[in-house]
Amino acid sequence: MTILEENVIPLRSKLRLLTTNPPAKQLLKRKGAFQEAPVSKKLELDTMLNGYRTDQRGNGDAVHDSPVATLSNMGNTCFLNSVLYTLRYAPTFLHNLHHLIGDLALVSSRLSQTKAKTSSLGRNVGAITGPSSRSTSSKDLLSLGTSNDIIPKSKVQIVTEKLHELYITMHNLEVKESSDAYQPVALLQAIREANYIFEGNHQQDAHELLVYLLDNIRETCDLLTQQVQQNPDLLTETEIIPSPNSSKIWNVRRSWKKTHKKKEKSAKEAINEEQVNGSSVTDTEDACSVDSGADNAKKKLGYNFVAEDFEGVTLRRTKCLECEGVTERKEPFYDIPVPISVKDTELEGDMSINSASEIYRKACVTSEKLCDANKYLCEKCQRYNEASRDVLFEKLPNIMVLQLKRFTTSSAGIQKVNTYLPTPLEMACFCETCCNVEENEAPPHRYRLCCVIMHLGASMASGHYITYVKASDHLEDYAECSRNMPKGSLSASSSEKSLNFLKYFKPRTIGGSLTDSKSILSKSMMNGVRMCKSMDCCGVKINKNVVENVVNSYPRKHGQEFYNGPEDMWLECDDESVRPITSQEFKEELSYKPNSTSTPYLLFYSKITDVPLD
Amino acid sequence: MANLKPGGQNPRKKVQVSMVICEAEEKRHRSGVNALQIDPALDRLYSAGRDSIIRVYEHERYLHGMEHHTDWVNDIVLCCGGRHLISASSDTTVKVWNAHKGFCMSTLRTHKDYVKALAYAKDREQVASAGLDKSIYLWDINTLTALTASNNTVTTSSLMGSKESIYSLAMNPPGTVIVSGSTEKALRLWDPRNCVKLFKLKGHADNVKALVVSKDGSHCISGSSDGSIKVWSLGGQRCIQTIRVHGDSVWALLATDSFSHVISGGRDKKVIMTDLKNPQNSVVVCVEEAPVLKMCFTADQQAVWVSTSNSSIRCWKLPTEKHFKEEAKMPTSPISLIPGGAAIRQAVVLNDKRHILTKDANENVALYDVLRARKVEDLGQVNFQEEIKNRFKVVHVPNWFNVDLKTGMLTIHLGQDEVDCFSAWVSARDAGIRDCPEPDQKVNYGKLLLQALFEHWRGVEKDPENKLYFTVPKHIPLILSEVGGRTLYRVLVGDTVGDTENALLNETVPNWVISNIEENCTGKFIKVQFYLQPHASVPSHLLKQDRLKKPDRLVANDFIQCRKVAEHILEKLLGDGNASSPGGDADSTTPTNNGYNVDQIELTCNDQILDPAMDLRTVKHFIWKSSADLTLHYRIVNAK
Repeated sequence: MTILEENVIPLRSKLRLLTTNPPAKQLLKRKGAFQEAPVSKKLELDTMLNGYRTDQRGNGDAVHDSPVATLSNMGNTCFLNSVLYTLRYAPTFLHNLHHLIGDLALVSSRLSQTKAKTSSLGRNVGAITGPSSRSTSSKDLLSLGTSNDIIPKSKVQIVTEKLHELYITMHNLEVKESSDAYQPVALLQAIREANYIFEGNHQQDAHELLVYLLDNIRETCDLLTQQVQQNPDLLTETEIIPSPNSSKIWNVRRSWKKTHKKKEKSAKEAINEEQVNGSSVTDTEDACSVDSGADNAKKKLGYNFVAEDFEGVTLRRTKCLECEGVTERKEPFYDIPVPISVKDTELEGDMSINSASEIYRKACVTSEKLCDANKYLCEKCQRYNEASRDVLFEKLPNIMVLQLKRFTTSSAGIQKVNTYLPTPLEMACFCETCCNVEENEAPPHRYRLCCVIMHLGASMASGHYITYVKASDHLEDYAECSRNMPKGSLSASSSEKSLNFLKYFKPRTIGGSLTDSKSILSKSMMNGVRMCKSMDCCGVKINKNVVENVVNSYPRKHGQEFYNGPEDMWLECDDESVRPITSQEFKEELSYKPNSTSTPYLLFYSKITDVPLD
Repeated sequence: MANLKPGGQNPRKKVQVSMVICEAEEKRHRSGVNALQIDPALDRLYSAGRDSIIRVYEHERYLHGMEHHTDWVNDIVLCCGGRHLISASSDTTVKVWNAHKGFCMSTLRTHKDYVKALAYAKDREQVASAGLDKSIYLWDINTLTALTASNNTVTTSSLMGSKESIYSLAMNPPGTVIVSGSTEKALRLWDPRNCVKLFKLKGHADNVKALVVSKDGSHCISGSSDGSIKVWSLGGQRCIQTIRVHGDSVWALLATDSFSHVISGGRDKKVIMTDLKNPQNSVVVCVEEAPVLKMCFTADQQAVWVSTSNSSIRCWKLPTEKHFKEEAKMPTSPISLIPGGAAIRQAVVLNDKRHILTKDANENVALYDVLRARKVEDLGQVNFQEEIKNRFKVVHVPNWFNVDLKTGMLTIHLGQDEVDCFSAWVSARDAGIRDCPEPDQKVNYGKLLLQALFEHWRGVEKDPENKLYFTVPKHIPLILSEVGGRTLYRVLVGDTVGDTENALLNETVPNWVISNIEENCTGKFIKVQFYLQPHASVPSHLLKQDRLKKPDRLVANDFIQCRKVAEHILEKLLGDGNASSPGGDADSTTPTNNGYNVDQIELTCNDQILDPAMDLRTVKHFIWKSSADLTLHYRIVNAK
């Protein structure tokens, strides 16, 4: 097994290089191309593209095939579709959701097993003992299925499961290359069941739904953690069960292994220190092994990925100007509200990354003085004094959601503010660490735009939501998954038995462990890197041909090549119509247009941690 | 005049009544000391306390206190050769005092926020005041001291241009230049002779809290919360030296007459003397036990008095050439000490809403009685939390006052209006009134205290209904102020007899206070709404059928005891209910028409059996624990 680990790391780093370097190059290229375009031409292009778009819309949706599965509007459900599209393409989301569902199934099956075991010793015990009783009868399956229902599922959990099911369906549609739009009825039903505010066929706030869904998943994670804590034997039992056929490591055991690896690592480090010009390969190797080690610790059963990926921490620092004592308060958050002034500031579309980032930094990282009638009650001075209050971000999430405060409540009801704010494709991080970096040093994180939910229209009630997402299969999320269970199965269980009965449910997703059939092996390997099987369950599968076709069909009027490969593509998801566009087109879409009511509303940025190369 | 009617365009701000529970003479500072001044001729030290009192020490012995401020005194200046003292306070006023006799001559109310700093130009007898309202006013002291009750208009010049709260101010003796330090992080300069704005000096990274200007007005030293001391050439309009000797904010500065050395103190509790010609050469004068707030030279300039955010003031010997050359060691103890008292740091109002348990800076715990405005028990250094727990009673009385500890003493702010102030009704028995003819008669805490506070102003009522049960000591300061804002009037309870005081009180005391202390009005009781429901065990034949259909919502005064409710049940809900209403002192053992007596009615709330002596607000607060309407269940026990 050690050998396996040794083999894996270089592969992983290889992938890392593959995925991180080219976009950087592309970015440079893109930037260059963009700067070359004269302003007049840009405007021309803008109007033409708009014309092109409306033409296409006028002709109906069936003009081209969609590169991905689509969702149909069931009447005022664009708020739902826009959020579903967004989450689907948000980095790491699908993968983590999959494992959460897997863990849920595992825990509930185990709970029922233990229950069955205590009630009737015998058959079930034999079944658990694993590989020897491979031929599990369908009776067993049924009994397990029904005992699953002994533990009542909460409405919250059902919503989470329905969400996952929806993504499985979308995946299957993509595999079949079906162009039918899918109606997310079941999910909507579950959402409405669990939360009354989404009842009725009204247009809803996409932001509200997003926060609700995230909360929902977080709650599901908490539920799972609770169950595991209440039944600690669930995990130990797994450890006792030998799984000789599996070359994979069950996570608990991996963490045990980790300690061994750490020792190895420290030895390695010692060597590195001796080498003055140590090869960078070893360095990255080390960085990777540290990463995966940390991942292991985190991504155990009931790993709360919502908290990890979407939750940040604000720090409110108040300093009394009299005693100069400082008090700090930390608060977790999901999204950062960005206030927008009603006054139309003269901002042109062509903004450098820095100045655009600066706008957001200034809007989010604030400093105010508590004075006049709004003095601060200092606990030390025991009186109201002037104070300075800084709001900063101790931690920004992996996926940062910026909510542009476009809807303001005034005496005339809720009004929309259409003031233009730039949407940079890349943004400097404004967490405390990055803000405190010395000027000549590069900050440790950056943010890259991955999804945008746009609000079209003049008011909240009459508006329409569309989503732009980065066209990506997010293969890197699945590479070297620490949670990679023997089979890319729903239950993510290590026990052979559960795998066998899963065969009856989803024959397609059944895969063997590495030692199993070759076909599966090929599927689970990509560029020599082992991929998590979950990508074959609910992962995104973009039809590359459609994307290529669309790109090729573009009239090359400007003598410029905007297309930089599929990595540079975006998808415009407008309910059942999903259209690939180049990042250049997307930029145009986001650029300043006078009096436009189609405005970005929710911006999703994914964190990029730059590994310093010494 | 129509617009002066209530509800017109210019409604007067709400007025709040407060009092400070203190000793007849507070000889020691209760809290930090913000400012110091020395009168070398008489060897008198003036100290301005956060406890609102300015104290005078002659030959280091307490002489007298100067009380008139109602909040922290932030700065003082001794002028006219020691005859007068000017003080600046967080009560937003500047006061002029007769320093020798110790009385307040006049109060200047021009500032709109805390007045933080004063500056004095000795040669011109001018004083400037500045504060958080961003304004600087320039006063002519001879005019100020000539003010009388009839001639009370002052003209002042103001120095315009400040953009942020001012924390420090300095002027040179000839009054040719004035410098201000503020949260703007820059120094601003004016010429006080013509009030012309000169220029701004940037360089500090944080608030500027201390300033000194050289006699000739050519140089200036500033101390900032950024931890640095900067020496500025005012002619060159630039910083010529940055001294970093402190590990934290610099809060106090003092320069020698010749401007050769600077003495600085700050948040790091250190006082350091630095040679300005050679800034590397600095000597730690002392390390105090709390952040240093102010320093002043002794008469011979060989030592400094140092005040801190603790109440004691110490005198430390200044280093000489020998110490600078490291030939001698600095003494580690002060040459003189004026001990301070302990500030009250924690106060917990007990459940009876009458007693307050306090803990002071020396960990001493004491018990105060608000109604009598005095300390009733010294408990010594006992466990505070334990003591709170021991004194916990299952009684709920609504809040009728707030406690404020900003001065290190108990300041009691009574409720801001009739509803708040008169919310606490208790029985005379519970209030400890022994000679009351009816122990169950309800008395109101707010009213009792107001009557006591204004006793000497209005005279004691002859009416026995309004008989005064409590008195407060005559030395207790009574403060009338705008809610959350400026002080309107401060007077000692015993002084309210005077004619001028009487007139001023007539102007400031809010009408609702006057009407309530004078008239024999019972006030408005606070009502509790509740439902009464029979327990399943109550035989249905006993219940009146019409009562069963829907639960009636009942309304009662919040101090009604459960026994009363039981009586109501007996009378109205059980049997035929034609009995006459039982009085408050009805003998509960007397059997009623339907054969049950009150003791057999058991009330429960949230499945908890209620004590008949418990009142409804206590039930709601401790057992029901919800803001929703209270629901009580009743059943019959020991049914015959």
